[in-house]
Amino acid sequence: MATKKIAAKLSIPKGIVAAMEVDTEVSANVTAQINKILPVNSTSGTRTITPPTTTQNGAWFGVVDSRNKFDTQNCVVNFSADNKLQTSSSPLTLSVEGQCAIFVWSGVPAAGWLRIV
Amino acid sequence: MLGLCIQAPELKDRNGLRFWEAKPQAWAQLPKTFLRHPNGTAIYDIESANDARFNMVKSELFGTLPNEVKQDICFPPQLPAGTVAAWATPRTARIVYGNEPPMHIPDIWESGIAYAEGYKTFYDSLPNSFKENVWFQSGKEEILNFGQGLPDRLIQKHFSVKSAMIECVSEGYPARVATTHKLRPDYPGNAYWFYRALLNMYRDAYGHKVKLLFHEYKLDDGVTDTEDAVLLLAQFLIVMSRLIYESDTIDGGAYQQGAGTGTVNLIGRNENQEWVTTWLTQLWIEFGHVLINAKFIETEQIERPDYVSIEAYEFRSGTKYLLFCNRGSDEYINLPGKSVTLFSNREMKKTNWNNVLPAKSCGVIKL
Repeated sequence: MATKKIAAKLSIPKGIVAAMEVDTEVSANVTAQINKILPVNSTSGTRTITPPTTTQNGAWFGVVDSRNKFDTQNCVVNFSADNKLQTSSSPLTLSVEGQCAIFVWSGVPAAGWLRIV
Repeated sequence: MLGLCIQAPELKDRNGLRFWEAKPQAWAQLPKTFLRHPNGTAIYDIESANDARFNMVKSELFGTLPNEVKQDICFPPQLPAGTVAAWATPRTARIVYGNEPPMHIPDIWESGIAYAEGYKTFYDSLPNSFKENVWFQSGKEEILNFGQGLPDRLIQKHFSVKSAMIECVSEGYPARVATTHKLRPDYPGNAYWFYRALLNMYRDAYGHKVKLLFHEYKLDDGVTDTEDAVLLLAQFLIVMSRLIYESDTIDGGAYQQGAGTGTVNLIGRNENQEWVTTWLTQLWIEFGHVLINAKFIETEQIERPDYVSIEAYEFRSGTKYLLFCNRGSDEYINLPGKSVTLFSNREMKKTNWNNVLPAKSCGVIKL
C-alpha cells in the first residue's frame, strides 16, 4: 500500500507523511519496526504484532489492515508491562475493518507508547 | 482557544471596583473570542434565571465588549431547560450541561447514567435552534489513561460518565464533548504527541466526528504566576494551534483564570486586594494577537527537539511570526540568523536575543 494512500486513510498531517515509510506486508506474527508502517494481512487468521523497543523520544511505528480483515481476523498489538501503551500493560486489539493505528514513544517507560491515530 | 472564563464577576478591589472598572485598558487589550459564564461549581448555587451575577455579566461586562465576543454558558442542571431561552442573547454560543459531572457524583448525580439521563431530558426539551449548540461532559481521558496514583473511586466516576455518554451518542445524540483540563508539567511525551494522543482517545470513544471543547483549561491548583505557569500556558496555546489546523476535532477553549482572586489570573486580585496584571497577561496579549489575527503556516513536525514547541503564523499583510516555548530544556537552542524577542521575565520587559532560544523561555519571533 502506497504511503500517500495510507496517509490519506489515517488523516495524517502532511508534515508527518514526509517521514513515513511503509514496511513489507506480513502474514505472520512479527515485531514491528521503528519509524515504519506495517501492513498486516490477516486473511488467513488473527495476527499478533509485538511493538518495537526503543528509548528514542518521538520514535513511532504503525500497523494497518492491508486486506480489510481485522473485523473478522483481529490484529493484537502485544503491549506488555515491559512495553506499555499509555501506561497500560494490556494488549490492544484492532478489530475494525481497514483499521490503522500509529504509536509514538513518549520517552517515559511508565507511560510507554502514545497512540496518536 | 482564546475564550476567558469569568467565575466571580462580583469581586471588587479595596476601592470597590470590579476588574474591568479597575483595569479597563488591560481588559480591552486582552484578546478574547468568548466569555464563559456562568461556569464552575458556582453554577449549582444559581436559583433562578434572574441571577444577579449572570445579569451583571450580561449587562455590564458584555457592555464593554464588541458584539463579536460570544458567550458560552455552563448550564445549571437544577434550572428548568426553559431558562436557556431566558438567558439567550445574540451572543450565546455553546451551552454545556452541568459542570464536571464525575466530580459531582454522587452529590449532584448519583452516577454517570444519572448525568446522561439528565442531559438527554435537557437536550430533548430544547428547541432545535438551541440543540445545535448543546454540549455534554465526559470522563476525562487524561484521568482515565494517565491517572495512576489517583483514587480508584475517582477513576470509576470518570469511567461511569464516559460509559454513559458513549451510550448516549450511540443513541444518536451529537458527539460534542466539553472537558475541563489541567495544564500540568508531567504529562508523558512532548506536548504535541500527548495532545494528539488525547484527541485520539476521544475519537476512539465517540467516533471520528467528535468535537472537543476545552471549556475550562487551567493551571493546576496551587500554581502561582511563576515561570512554569507562563511556559505551560504558552506551550498549550502553541500546540492547540497546530492541532486545530491539523484536524477539525477541537472546537475551542477557554482559559479558566481570566479574572479572579490570585495573580495566576490574567487580571488577578492580589493579597492587597488590588487588581493587577502579570506576565501571564503579557503572554496572553502577545500570543493572542497572533493566534486571532494571523493564519497558521504548515511546517514539518518531524525532527524537532522534544522540549520545544514552535509554530509559524502569517498576517494578512504578509508579516510572519513564530511563537515558541522552550519549556523542557535547560539548554540554549541555536536559531541561526534570528533575533528572538522574549517577554518571559518577571519584569515583563521585552528582551532581545540573537540566534538562540534561551532556556526556559517563551516568546514571539518576527521573521
